[in-house]
Amino acid sequence: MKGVAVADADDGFAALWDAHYDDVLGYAARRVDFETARDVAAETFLVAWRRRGDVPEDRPFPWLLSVARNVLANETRRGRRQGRLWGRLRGVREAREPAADVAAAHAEGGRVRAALARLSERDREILQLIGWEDLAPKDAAIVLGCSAKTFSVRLHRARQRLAAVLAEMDTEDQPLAVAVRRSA
Amino acid sequence: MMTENVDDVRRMLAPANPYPSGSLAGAGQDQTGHAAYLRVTRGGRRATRRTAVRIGVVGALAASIAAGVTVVQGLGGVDDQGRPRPVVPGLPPGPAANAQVVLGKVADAAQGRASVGPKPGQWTYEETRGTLPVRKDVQSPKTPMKTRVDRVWVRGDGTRLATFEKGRLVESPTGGPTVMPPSSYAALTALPRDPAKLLAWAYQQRAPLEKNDGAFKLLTSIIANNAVLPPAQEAATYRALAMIPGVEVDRNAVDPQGRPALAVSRVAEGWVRESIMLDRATFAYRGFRDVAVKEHHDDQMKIAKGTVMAVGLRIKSGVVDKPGQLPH
Repeated sequence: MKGVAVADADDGFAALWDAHYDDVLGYAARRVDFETARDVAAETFLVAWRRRGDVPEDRPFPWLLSVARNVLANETRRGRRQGRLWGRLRGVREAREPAADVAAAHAEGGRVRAALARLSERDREILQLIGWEDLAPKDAAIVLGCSAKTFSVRLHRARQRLAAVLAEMDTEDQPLAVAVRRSA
Repeated sequence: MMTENVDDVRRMLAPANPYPSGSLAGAGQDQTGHAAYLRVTRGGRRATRRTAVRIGVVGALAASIAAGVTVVQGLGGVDDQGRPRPVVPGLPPGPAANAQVVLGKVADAAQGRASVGPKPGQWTYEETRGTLPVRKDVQSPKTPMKTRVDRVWVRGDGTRLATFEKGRLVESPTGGPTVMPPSSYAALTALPRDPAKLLAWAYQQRAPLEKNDGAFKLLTSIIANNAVLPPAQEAATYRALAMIPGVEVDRNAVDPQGRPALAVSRVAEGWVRESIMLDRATFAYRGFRDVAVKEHHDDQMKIAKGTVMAVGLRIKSGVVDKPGQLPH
C-alpha cells in the first residue's frame, strides 16, 4: 500500500493538503487576521508543492509549520513595509487589545493573551506551539529548528516566565480595582 | 518534568486560543481552500483576498492568469448600475423582469433538456475566454484588460482535472469530490434536487461573505464552473437563485460578445454587480460579468465605479472520452 501512496506525487500532495491544510491555516489564523492567514496557508503549500520531494513522509506537519513560520515572518516584514499589516497582527505585540476576539470576551483568555503579549517573541512561540498547535515537544523543536533537548529547556523557562508575568499582572490589577471601588 | 510542562502550558493557553483545534476543519475544501489548491498545484501565483474569493466563480480561468496574454482596452459600456449597455442596434435596455417568473422558465427549460452527462471514465470539457484588469490593486474603467482562454477537462467522477499549461496538457488531482464549489458531474448529481433544500445547503457552506452574497456566488458558480450539469440540479439551481433576496433578471442584457442575452444578477457587498448571462432563446449559459457599481476601497485595493472586474465567455463545452479531446 505504501507503494501506491508514493507512486503519484500529485496524489501524495492531495493527501497532504487534505490532512494538514486546516491545521496550517489554524496556525496562521492564530497569529494574523483570517484573510492574511489564508494567504499564508496557500503560500506554505506552494512551497511544499515546489519542494514535494523534501517533505518528510513520516512527519510532514512540523515541516509544514516551519515553512509557515517563515512565510509568516516574510509576510509580516512585507506588511510592515507596505503598512498594511499594521494593526492586523493578532494582539500579541505592544499589548494591544484584540477587541473583536472571542477569546477577549473570556476573562481568562484575555488575561492569558495579555500575559503572552508581554513575553518575548521566542517565548511566546514556544508556548503557543505546545498550547495552541498541540505539538509534541520533539515536533515543536523541528518547527523552531533546534534540538528536542534545547526545546525542553526553553519550554520550561518560557512557562516560568509566563507564570511570573501572570503573577505580576495580578498585583498590578489590585490598586486599579481599589481605585475603581473608591470612585464608585 | 517535561510532561508536566506540556500539560500545564496547554491548560494555561487553552482559553486564549482564538481557533481551538478542529475549529477550521474543512477549510481546505471550501470555496477559498479549493481555489487555493488549484492555484498551488498549477504553480499559480499569489492571489489577493478578493481574487481568492472570486476564483470560485471564475474557476479555472482566473486561477492561473499568467504572463504573455493579450491586452485589450475596455469592453463596451455599462450604465450607472453596472448593467451593460446593449451594443445591438434597435434593442433598448428594458425594465427588469420579474426574477421569479423568468427564472422559473429558465428552470423549466433546463429540466426539459436531454441528459448528456458523462459515462464512467468520460470527462467534461469547458473552454472559457476570460478577461480581467491587468492590475489588482487599483482598477478603473480605463485599466487595461488582459484576456486568456482556458481549457479545462474534469473527469466525471470529479477526481482528476486537466488543463493546458504552456501548450502542455497537465493532469492533476482535484482534491476530491467534496471540493467547493462543486465542479464535477458526480458532485453535482449529489446535490439536492429540491430548490429550497439546495438553497439551505448553499447557506450552510462556509464562505467569507455575507449569507446572501455567498449563496448567490456559490449557486452561480455551479452554473459557470461546470460544462455539463444534470438537468434536475440545474433546474433546482435556478429556482434556488430566484429565492435569494436582491436577485434581478434583465432580458435585454448583452453577453460578453455583445449578443443579446438574459442576465441574472445581484449586487454583492453593496458595490459589485455579479451576473451570469444566458442565451435568450435556449437559456443555455453563455458567460459571466462582474462590474463595480460603486467606488470601492479597502486596505488592498481601490476600484472605481464602472470598472469591469471580470468577464468570462463560454466558448465550448461538452463530454469527451479523455483529456485533450474536444467535443464535436
